[in-house]
Amino acid sequence: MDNIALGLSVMLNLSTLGYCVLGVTVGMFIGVLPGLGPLATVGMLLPLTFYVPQTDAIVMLAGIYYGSMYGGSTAAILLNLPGTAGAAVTCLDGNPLAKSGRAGVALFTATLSSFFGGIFGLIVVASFTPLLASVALSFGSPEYASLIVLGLLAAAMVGNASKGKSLAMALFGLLLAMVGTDPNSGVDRMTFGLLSLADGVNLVVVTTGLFGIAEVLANVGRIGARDAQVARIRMRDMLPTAREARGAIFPALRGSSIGAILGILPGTGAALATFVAYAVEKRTSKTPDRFGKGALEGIVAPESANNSAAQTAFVPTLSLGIPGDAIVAIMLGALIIHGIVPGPQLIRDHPDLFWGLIVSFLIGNVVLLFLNLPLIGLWVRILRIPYAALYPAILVFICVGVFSIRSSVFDVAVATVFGLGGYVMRRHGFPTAPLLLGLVLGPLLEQNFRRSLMLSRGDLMTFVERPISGAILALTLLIIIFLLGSELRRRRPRGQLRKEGQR
Amino acid sequence: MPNKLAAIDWRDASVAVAVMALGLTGVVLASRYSLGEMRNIGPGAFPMIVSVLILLAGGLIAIESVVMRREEGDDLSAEPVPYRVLLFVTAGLLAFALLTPVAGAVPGILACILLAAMADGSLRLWQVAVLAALVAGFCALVFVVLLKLPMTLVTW
Repeated sequence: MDNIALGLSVMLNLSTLGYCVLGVTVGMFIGVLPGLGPLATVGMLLPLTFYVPQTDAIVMLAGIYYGSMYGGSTAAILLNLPGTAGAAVTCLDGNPLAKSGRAGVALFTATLSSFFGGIFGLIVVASFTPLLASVALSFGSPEYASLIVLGLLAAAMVGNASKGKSLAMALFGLLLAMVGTDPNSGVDRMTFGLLSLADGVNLVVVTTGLFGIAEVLANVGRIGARDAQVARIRMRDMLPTAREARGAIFPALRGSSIGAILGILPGTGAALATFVAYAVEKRTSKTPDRFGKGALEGIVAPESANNSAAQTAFVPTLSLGIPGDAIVAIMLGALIIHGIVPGPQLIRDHPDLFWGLIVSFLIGNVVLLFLNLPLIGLWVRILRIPYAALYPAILVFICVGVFSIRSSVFDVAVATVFGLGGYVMRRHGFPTAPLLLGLVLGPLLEQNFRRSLMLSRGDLMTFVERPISGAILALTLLIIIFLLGSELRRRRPRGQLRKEGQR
Repeated sequence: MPNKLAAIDWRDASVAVAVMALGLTGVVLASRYSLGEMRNIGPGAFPMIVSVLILLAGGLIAIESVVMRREEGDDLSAEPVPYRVLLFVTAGLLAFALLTPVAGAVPGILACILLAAMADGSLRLWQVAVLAALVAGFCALVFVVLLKLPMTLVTW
């Protein structure tokens, strides 16, 4: 209880509260707009948070993340166009509902499910993180190295893309992380003699390039003029029937639980949780043929799952210092920039930051509820901003954000290169999120790997012989075997799901 | 019996070669730094391990290209390369990078919007001008006046 009081005292600060509201509003905004995701936005705004107190910065960046999960469903339902990756599944049943004139019900359900998932995830974060952190306080370097390997492999192996390609991207991220001055020996590695590279490849530069610029390159000309024929939605058209509301309780619980578990697992994010939640819901349903034609459960499950996952992604981040997914990885970078060492000692050393963040989740979710329901008309109007007017502005914000890190136009050029490279990679089916995780985790992995070997006097068996480290590696191996084994079986249902989405 | 070669996804196979080339480059780069010894590994050791693993991942992609025929989904690869978009977006970004140190952020922003807007080409000239003015004004107000980022708006 003391902890909640501490968090409340942090959040009652007017500026922190302001940044929380600003964060969720921006998140909602970019979530509604297709073609601008939370990853690019968080990357773009990261340099601006250097000028803001640390708690405010994290509260705002987190707000953008879970706020975008609320917003993502709006475009999915009204335009059959996911506002964020986590809302792609919501299209399947949300858009048929909208077409049959029940857009209001779909939006209302999506918002309430999001709220439910968010609160569910928040409770998991508040109760689970301190527990995990106290266990992790006994971790040494070998345990950390093993955990990072688990996180990277989970990120690479779980997901739609080719395992080899995802793995290559995670490894490429690790290699990029090596660029710059080696902290142990002071040797400049792979800088090609460029002084601008001595500090390494900047996280913001890579993120804005790979996710901001590449996204623009992929979307210009593809997101065409939208048919803005969206009817006015009145409050009283939004309420589902009592029977529908009752039927939504269990899908919401199932979705939130799936989201919470996948969110905690390092390296897997909200988008994956929606796919799994939808598949599970369809399988457990007595009437699976309703799915894809406007089943309300088809909105409830994924929307509660992605919001739950967006919250629980903070569990491994704040307890172990290992990010739950790529977006939280950037926030981990923000923490490090602000001089906070992420890891099990974070809650002990910075209780105000942790509990402030928890309370900000609560406030943010409530604010989002009110931003969504009464103001839905405003967001519908924002949907009408044509992409042709949007993307030049996105590019400028990327330029300004990258330039403001250290007034370097070299960085803008590097971001451009990463943008073009990221576009080429995406064309060839390489997922870019594992690269980002590799980039963030690279230095941590190398340091812990080196330290482990130093402590064990060069004995590689230390990673296997230490019980916790060995158990983590065994788990990693199990995940690899399981995923490779189910690869062929999984391919068919995924293809079906995708085809239904195109319809 | 159908032609076995037809089952190989040649696009993926060439991608595998590119990934292996990346791994090989990494090996060459890493070998320029000391590997150290097991109890105290040098700056080259970790990049070397990662590069070798990239080589192996390239191998895995090659195997995948033979074993599995991937159904083409909603990915970009089916579409023609949008040279116009690539050209003008890059030009806009580089215009910002070139103009900002010389003339200040506002000319950089205006040039970026002007060039980038041509990638799509659906906006009329006056619309682009209004957009450029709005974005430049927003950036000046929020980033320089409110957030006080160290940025020169216009160099005289």
